[in-house]
Amino acid sequence: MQFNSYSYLILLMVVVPIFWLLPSNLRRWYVLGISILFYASWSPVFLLAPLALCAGVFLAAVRISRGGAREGHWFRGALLYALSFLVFFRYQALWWPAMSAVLHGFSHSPAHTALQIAVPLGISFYSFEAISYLVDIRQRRVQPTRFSDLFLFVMFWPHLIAGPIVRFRELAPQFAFKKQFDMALMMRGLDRLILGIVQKNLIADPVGSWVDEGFVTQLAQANTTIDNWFLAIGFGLQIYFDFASYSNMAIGVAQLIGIQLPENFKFPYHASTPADFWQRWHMTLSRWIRDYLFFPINVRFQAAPLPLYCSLLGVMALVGLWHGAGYGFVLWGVLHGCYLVIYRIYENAQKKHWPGLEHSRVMSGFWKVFTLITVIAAWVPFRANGYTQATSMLKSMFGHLTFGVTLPLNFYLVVLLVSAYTVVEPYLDKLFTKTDGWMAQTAARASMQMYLLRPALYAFGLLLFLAFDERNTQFIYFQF
Amino acid sequence: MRKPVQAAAVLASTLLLLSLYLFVHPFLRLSDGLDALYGVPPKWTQVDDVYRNPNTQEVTHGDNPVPSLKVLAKYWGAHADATRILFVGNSQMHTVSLAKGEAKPTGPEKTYVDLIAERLALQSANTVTYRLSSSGMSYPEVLWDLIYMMNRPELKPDAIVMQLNYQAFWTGGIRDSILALLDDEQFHAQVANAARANKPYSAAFQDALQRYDERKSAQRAASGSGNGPASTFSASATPGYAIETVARKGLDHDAEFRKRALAKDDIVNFLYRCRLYFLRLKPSTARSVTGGRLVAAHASVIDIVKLCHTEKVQLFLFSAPVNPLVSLYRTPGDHAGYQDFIEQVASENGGPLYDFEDTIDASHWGNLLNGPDPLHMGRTAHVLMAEEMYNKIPLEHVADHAGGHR
Repeated sequence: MQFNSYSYLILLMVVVPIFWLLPSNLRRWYVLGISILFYASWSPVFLLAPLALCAGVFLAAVRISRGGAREGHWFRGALLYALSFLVFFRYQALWWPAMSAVLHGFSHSPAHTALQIAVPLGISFYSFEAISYLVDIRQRRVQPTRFSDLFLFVMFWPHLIAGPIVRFRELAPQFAFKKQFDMALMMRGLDRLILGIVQKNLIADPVGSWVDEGFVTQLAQANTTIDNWFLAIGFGLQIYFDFASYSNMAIGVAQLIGIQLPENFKFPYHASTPADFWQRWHMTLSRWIRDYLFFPINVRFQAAPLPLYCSLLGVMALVGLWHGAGYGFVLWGVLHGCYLVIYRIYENAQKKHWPGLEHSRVMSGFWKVFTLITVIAAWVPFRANGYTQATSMLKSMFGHLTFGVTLPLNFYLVVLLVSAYTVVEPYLDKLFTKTDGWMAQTAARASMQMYLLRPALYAFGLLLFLAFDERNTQFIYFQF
Repeated sequence: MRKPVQAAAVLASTLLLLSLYLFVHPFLRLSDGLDALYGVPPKWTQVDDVYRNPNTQEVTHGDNPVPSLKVLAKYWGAHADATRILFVGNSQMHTVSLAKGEAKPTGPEKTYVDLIAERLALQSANTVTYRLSSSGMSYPEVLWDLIYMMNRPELKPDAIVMQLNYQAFWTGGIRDSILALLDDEQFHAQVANAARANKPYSAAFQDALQRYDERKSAQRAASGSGNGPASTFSASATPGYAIETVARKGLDHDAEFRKRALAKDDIVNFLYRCRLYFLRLKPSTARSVTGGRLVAAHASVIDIVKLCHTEKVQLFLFSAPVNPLVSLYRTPGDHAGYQDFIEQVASENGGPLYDFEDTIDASHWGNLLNGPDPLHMGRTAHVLMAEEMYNKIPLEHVADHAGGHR
């Protein structure tokens, strides 16, 4: 069941009121039941993956929490177990050729399709959540209490398929569901939900259909430099609004039942440096990588420059690989690693040799432009259909300049329009918050806001959602 | 007010306002307001009541060609000995956009293709014609349609009169509405071959096949005839998809709700007007045609010529008339490049290029929202064009060449 489907919105209209009518001790079971049904709506067979993952991880967590000599073994074994889900399902492209060759050697030359394994949705997300749970158990930050706690943490439907990647200690306390019904939180949830469905249907999908056309292999060779820049920007906007829309819907729906999920995006194209970009883009993945991978590695090297740079590159390559077993994803990650290393080198040099540049407007402007251009360029290998297309597009963008526009005129206009929206987005957000504050100052204005202006905005959002509804459009991050 | 009641009130208010939006069509009103502000010609100048005959026209203009072609097969089947002439082109062939000074229509208006068909029928009772036109028709689509028709003796023409138009080289891809032709297995196989052939239009064919397959699997899922869990994930084969189908069917019972499809047209038309009025970017804005779409269009036209030769179907190529008030070419080089290409195609076809580009005087063209229409002609223009075409293209001699190759 897609977040941007009619059935999902109807389901919410039923599920949320029932949730609030239930006594709080029943709510966790109710949410777990709904989460299971939600996941089963993709395929009941998929349920086996999170169930098996949680069972193994919980068993190990209990043993780890008891301490003792074998604690380390249990921890490493459980990590391998959780990672094996990721490798088995997510990275079939990596191990399948080797397995196929072995089977072939034994004269079992099975039809590829017969052994192809469906990838359960959200596996990359909940595998990472399971790993974070194990690390937190090992570090005694949480205690394994009940299996159902872990299972609900993993299965909680708003974040199950495509994040945000949550920590157990963030969610578990909220799963007591002791909160009273909070109208303000409910309204914030509706704001996010409506914003999300509009971003998906009105921005991400229409931009995506043009971007897809521009990336068609046989035709892309004829693209000019301007086309390729617009395509890279277009894809950057598509993936941002696609993923941010999902996150908005996830956060919004969770708020409808009183749960606060962490933010995942903070106007990433407004980043002032490459490091800042990763504090604004897929923030929960960045946080996971930083806490569970980057810091543990760098503690050993005590932030010595060379190992730090190598680990940055390695970690970012892994971030790329997390998206899938494609060279394009890895290259995207490595490119981001390079940007971060370049920025770190500058930062160190600036502190040592040019302290006066710290507040230089020229340098901050330079880094803003550098970040924007390099982030956009890095989307090319992420989206391109193969190495040849990626390199030829990048060459055309930075070297072999050709002019003219060859794609439909509306594509350029839409990319410009959406870019303009992206530029003003944080200011609109501030304006919205300010207006809200002003409206709340008197009872009359607050009532008008709640019963007329907000519903008018929601209805307008729904109108846009319905108008641009293309059935069965997938979220890009569902494949990761 | 108690909080749960507040929440219910917000929800009720939202749904009420949504119904109001669907009822009021706010974007349509905005568009009308802009039109009034910018003084567009009255709506009746875009003639709705055009002559309609399913035996001689694809009356859905590409929206649902399968039933139309069935009618054609029946009609041509009933005239087995007649000479068959097929006219192929874009909306110019089925649109009448009245020029300044032309009177309000009093009955169905005829386009130049209808008028030529009448003349040919008068000349010889043994000639049948068919107009296959759709708005924004791309050359990959023309190739698609012709492959389909050539496959079937009951639809195979003796001659094709194909329009060449600079604007048609801007468009590409295969529209959803003609995917249904792929139900024919032989045609499906031919399209699959073309998609694998690494031609510049292969990507469009490949994309069309993919959309067709997705549609079919969605239909199978909706009708409950799925073959169990798919080995690779497909959203249309999930229980959630079936639930969504039920939800949509249920909601579609409500007439107001069904209007949501119109809401998109309203919004797109409003945005289009913003483009026209504020950015002054018209469909007729001069532009250079380069890139993938042009390459695909060129390859399609060349393969149409080859297909006609292989199938021994006479092909007449003509360049469409263009409003002299509008220059579609951004540079003289664009014009020269286009002219070179269509002349090269004509020479490969082994016949002349019938050039009607400057045939119709500026005063006979219709008007768009904010300026002269580059493509659509008025009543007098259609008569003049029919006369010119009839006199220049030797269609009455097609029968001599038809030669029983069907």
